Amino acid sequence: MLTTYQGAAVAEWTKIRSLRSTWWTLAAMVGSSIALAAITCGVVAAHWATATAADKAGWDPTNQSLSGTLTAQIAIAVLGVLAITAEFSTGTIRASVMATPHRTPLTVAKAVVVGFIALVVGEIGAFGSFFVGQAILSGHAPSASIGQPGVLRAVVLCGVYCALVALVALGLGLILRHTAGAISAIVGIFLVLPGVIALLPGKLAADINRLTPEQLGANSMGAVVHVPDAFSALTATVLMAAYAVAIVAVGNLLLRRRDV
Amino acid sequence: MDIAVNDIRKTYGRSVAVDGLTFRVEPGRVTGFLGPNGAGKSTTMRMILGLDRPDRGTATINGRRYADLDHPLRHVGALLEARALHPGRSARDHLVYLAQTNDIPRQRVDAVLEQVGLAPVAAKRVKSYSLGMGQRLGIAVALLGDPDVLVLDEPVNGLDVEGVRWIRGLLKGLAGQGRAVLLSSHLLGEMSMTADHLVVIAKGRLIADCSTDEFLARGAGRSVHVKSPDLAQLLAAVRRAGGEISSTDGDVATITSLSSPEIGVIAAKEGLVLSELMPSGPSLEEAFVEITSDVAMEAGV
Repeated sequence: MLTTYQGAAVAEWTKIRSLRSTWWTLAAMVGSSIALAAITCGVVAAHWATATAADKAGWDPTNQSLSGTLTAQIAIAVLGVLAITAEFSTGTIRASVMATPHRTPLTVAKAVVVGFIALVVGEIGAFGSFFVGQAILSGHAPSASIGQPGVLRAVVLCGVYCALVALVALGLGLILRHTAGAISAIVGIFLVLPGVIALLPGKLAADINRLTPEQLGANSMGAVVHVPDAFSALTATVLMAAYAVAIVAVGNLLLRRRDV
Repeated sequence: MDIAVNDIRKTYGRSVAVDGLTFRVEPGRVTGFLGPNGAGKSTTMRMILGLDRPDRGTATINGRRYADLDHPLRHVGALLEARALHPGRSARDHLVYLAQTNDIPRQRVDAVLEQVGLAPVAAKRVKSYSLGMGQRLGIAVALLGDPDVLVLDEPVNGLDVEGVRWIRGLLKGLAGQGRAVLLSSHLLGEMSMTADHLVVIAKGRLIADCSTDEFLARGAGRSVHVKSPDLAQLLAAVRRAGGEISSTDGDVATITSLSSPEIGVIAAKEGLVLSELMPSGPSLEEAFVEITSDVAMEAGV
């Protein structure tokens, strides 16, 4: 006998695995993540000899190889958005809500399934990018090995970051109910916002900038070498998780309040 | 199992969609929910199904709000708008995940696919389905939990003649098994063939809640079409019995104020030949227009 929560979670898994677009999105995520790692590490490897002393001082080969995954997060975000907005655009949300009328189990089930898939795929992308990136750097520039202090943590947290991005995306989808709107919001938060913040005066920009999800991922969770002004990996993970939980909670509240 | 709608009201912004509606849907019969487009039928159904929250009043299923039902798909089956399906998912997967949400045995998925005739195409993605196939899948969803209550919004929309006949037989069969069936339509003629009981609304308000026969009788007076080689003698006898002749044309006539059995008896007593005797009651359309326009007049609309 399945409880409402169990039933909703199994059903969400069936929903997401039964769509080909899920597998295309995940393949795109892993593929682009590893490809970007290969390209950026290849560029660094080719130009290491001419790099400045400052560049060499702050060199974080782990972070460099994970940069592709941090870019490919957009693909994961699309998966998180579509998990809910496709229900609104096709009308299946009404069937889902009739099956689970209290609605909170529906949100929780979606969060668990989307979060789990994004975590698994995020880790595949992160580890794949790391090993491919280090292999390309090796012999041309200083590279990292998984056993060095902080390296395993950064690679694992990179995958965790992907899962949290997917949850933020799911929450935005719950709030906005439209695929295009929610994806625009994601692009705004992850790609446009850092540029806007950079226009603010000096210290203020840095203070705000380090709070953005993009910085939490790139400079804290996925970093081995500490970046000035950035949060520690632990603090960044807690902050990012808090964002995800808060946005999904608001989305759930609105799902419960509004007619579907 | 029954549906009880008690004084529900729903507004969207400043427009009132449903205004103080009260009615019941009893088990064992098909209750037709009739009204022109925009009368508030879909809104009422959405409130019964817990999708929309009424501003006032309650809609309950066997005394409980839809949201309070444990595993609701096992109690209530619903078909709302057609094609509320993800085009990229197969019919079987669609039914499988709904079954999982309410802990419905997997065998029911195959059973309903068989019942609606979609078993051979169940693995195909829904985007390749015709309108009629989509509608059949919608019916399969409604039947999935073997529910005692069915709520179907315009299920015959877009179906071909064979599909319409199929749904009609299916719904009568389900009601015959003691289930409560609420069926909305703006196709009035279709309703007269399917529904035992009618709940008629217009502009969000109740206009009639009665048996289909009674609703028809409330419309314009009945008339009877006769054809007879002895028409002049027949009409004289009919007049003596209090019947009125509304029209004659050769050997046919239309008689009002007498029923066809009464006319048959008169003809037999007088020893006259009747070659045709056919009651032609008002169509549901005529009755509907007449009754709704009366209400509109009273309301000063």
